[in-house]
Amino acid sequence: MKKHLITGLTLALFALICGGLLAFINMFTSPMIKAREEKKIEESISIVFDAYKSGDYTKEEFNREGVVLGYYIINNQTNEKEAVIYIIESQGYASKIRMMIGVNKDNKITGYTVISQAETKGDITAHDFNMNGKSNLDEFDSLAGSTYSSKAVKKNFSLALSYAKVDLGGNAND
Amino acid sequence: MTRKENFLKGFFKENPLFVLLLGCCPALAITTSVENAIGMTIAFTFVVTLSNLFISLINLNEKIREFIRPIRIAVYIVIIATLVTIVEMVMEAYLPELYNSLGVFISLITVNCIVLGRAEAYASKNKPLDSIIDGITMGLGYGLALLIISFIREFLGSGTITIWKELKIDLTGLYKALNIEPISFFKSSAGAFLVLGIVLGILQAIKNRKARKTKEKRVVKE
Repeated sequence: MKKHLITGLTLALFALICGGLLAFINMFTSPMIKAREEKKIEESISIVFDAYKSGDYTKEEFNREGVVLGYYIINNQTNEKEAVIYIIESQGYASKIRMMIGVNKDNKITGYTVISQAETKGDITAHDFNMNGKSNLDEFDSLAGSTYSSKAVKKNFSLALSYAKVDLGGNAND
Repeated sequence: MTRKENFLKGFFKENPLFVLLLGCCPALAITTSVENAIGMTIAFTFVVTLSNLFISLINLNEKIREFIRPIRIAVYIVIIATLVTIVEMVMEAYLPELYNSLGVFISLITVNCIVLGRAEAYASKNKPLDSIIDGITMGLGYGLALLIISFIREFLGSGTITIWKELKIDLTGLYKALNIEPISFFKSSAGAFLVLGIVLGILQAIKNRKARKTKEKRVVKE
């Protein structure tokens, strides 16, 4: 019994030393990783909502069912929610296609970008799905030869538009 | 075995991938570009060398060796996992593109049979310096194998050789001159299997030829 206890404590000691070492290294690497991720999000938001670059808007992070993460874009002067940006993902052919999609208070797509994907066919990152400024999927331009990927992208747009209606308090034109 | 022989064994005689056929999964998955192979080699050599060193140091003392014998595998895994996590954190902070490209295979170095195999079979029974040399040779030998496979796959599959980030050799002109396209099949896992099989076949043929010549020489002498 005593022997088992001692070997257990020895293992715990090893784990403690290793944990301490990892915590020490994490002190240096963690701020860098966090800063880079934040920079990447800021850049992506600027792509999705062009006016964000001007500095007249601030973002407010929120959690929502159905999306990975959401951001409200708030006008600094009026303090009103001008748009909502979602990080949203759907299953494509070989991978999940994660996108950032912006929708304004008129329920129109302000911009979009593919954050991550590992599809095997077609370059969906570079393809223009013809959705900028649109409020429905009528003119959605699928990527030829990538049916499943296009379907996933379309689903992302569809979800973003429907969620935005709720999150921004509905659309007067509907 | 001399230190020189110890150092050279990992490249040819006991190459982890080409001779021992260990670490096949990451070799098939990450060899889509030479850059990936270089990154994996650096990460892998770091882990296997330092894990060999620490495990050898722990086993230096006869009493400690006997004491940890029942829990030695758990201790080795803790050490290896710590080193892998360090590599992961540093890579994510300083080389994010490579980190994303290698993906889960960095974490999987923890359970790589080469690392644990060298810890149990070599480092636990040998002195620290010899264990370091063993770690370096196994890491570089594995890296050499990864480089060969990735070079063939990237050249045939994409027509490029990506050495590091923007440092890329574009050989697509060669394909254009021949009026053909790069064969994207080689970018897939099945293509990796084929390349590994062909390379193993060539190496085995060379080995057999060498053995036959040695045998013939011996017969002539007799």
